[in-house]
Amino acid sequence: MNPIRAMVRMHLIDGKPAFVIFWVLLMALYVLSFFLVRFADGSVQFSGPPAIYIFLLTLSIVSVRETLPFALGLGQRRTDFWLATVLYHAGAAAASAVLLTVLARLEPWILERTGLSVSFFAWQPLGGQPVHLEWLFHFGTIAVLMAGGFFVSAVYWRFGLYGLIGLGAAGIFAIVLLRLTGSSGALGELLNRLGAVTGTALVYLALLALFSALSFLLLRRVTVR
Amino acid sequence: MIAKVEGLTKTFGGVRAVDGVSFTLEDRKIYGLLGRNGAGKTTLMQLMTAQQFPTSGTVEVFGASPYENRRVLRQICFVKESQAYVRNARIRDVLEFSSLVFPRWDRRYAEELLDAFRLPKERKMKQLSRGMTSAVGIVVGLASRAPLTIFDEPYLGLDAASRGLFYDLLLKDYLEHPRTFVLSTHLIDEVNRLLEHILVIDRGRLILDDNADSVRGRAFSVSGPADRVASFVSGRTIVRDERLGSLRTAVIPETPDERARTRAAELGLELKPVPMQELIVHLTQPSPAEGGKRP
Repeated sequence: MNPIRAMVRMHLIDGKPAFVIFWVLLMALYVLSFFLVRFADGSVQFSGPPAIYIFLLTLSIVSVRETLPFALGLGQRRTDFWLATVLYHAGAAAASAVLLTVLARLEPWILERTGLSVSFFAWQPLGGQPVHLEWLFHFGTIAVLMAGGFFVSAVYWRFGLYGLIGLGAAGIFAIVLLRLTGSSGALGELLNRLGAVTGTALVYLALLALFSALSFLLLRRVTVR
Repeated sequence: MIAKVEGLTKTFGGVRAVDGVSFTLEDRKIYGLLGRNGAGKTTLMQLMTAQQFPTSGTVEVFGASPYENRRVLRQICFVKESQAYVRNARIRDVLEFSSLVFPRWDRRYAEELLDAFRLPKERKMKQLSRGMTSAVGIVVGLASRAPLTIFDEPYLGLDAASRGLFYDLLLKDYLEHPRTFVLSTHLIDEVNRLLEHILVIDRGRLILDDNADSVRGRAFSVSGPADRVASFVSGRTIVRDERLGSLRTAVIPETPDERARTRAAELGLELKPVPMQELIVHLTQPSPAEGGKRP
């Protein structure tokens, strides 16, 4: 387990500055919104969760940029690097989901005491959900996005820029195909019938399995440039 | 034997970076992998450490393919000139990483090496000069005590004093903890004294695989009055020819036999061994058909 531990540690060192800067900026914006609300029409709405989602997606794409050539250059197995990256992403997703859930739960308490109307972390679509489901939703969303980011990175490391162009073209083709065949509607109907929680969980699990498997297979053939 | 390479070929597009190379590495020896820039040295070492995939041929290190083989990979430490580091990592993070991935890592020795190269442990990799980054690679390579340690031009940006320090440390550590080193370099004369076995690669092909002492005696220079040197070299291949007034020095790529020594003594000429670098330059020179200036 030592090599995997070493690589997770390197991921943490690599991502730490970006993580700290992002959260400092986000919290500064949060505090600022309490001042801005006085000049606005009495309420400020900001989508904290999507901002965090986008940040972690970006982090997952760039997290491989320096750690992969370092680890492979010093003779580490591609499988171990993949495992370490998946563990790091899972940890980052779990920790971020905890932060998001805690902040979303704290927000009404803060608003009650300040008498201001600031909607920052409490996300309306999740309003009224039990705390574990709220955490699970954030965790699942972030995990899927990070697995997707890792997959994009793996495509780049395996096939270079042409790989990314090909991936983009394949994505557009798939969307057009779904539209033309009407499969997207059928898929939506199926998910509706399964219910919001089960449907979302199934989609997330399928995407996680797909992205993880593909990034593993791609990484097995990556070379050090 | 710790490594066996057979018919190894690597093609990039239409270019054969490594072309049908075969050799073996013995345990507890210092090898020199020599050749010009772009000869295929780095690709060869990347193939040996599974960082690249061969187009054809096989590599066995410690009895097995190194690809995804933890048992094999943990016994190899490959430090290359272009080794990438995590820019936000401090030197101590790199050493901590190395201590977790190299089972024979010597923490105390690593600290000694940091002092020797005057490396500040708390400094981030992105703040290091080129020479300091190279020195970190040297520390990792030596302190790993890996049974097969490969250095690919590890001295980039290092001054002459630091390079000398590296060679001294390598030799000292090799004597105290014998293992196999492969030194890839084009500063041949600097490492000459360290090498026990020479591999020369040129345009992807292995053109020399021999004991260093045998290679050292493969050429000699003859100097003296020009007319007598002309008489001595008549009918022989000359690698280099220099004239200074009435004096002439010629380099001949062959081992001087007793007859040659006697003849030189008769003519009052001086015979000397030729520096290895000169010999390697001769071996890797393009042939006249390729536009070279081979005499």
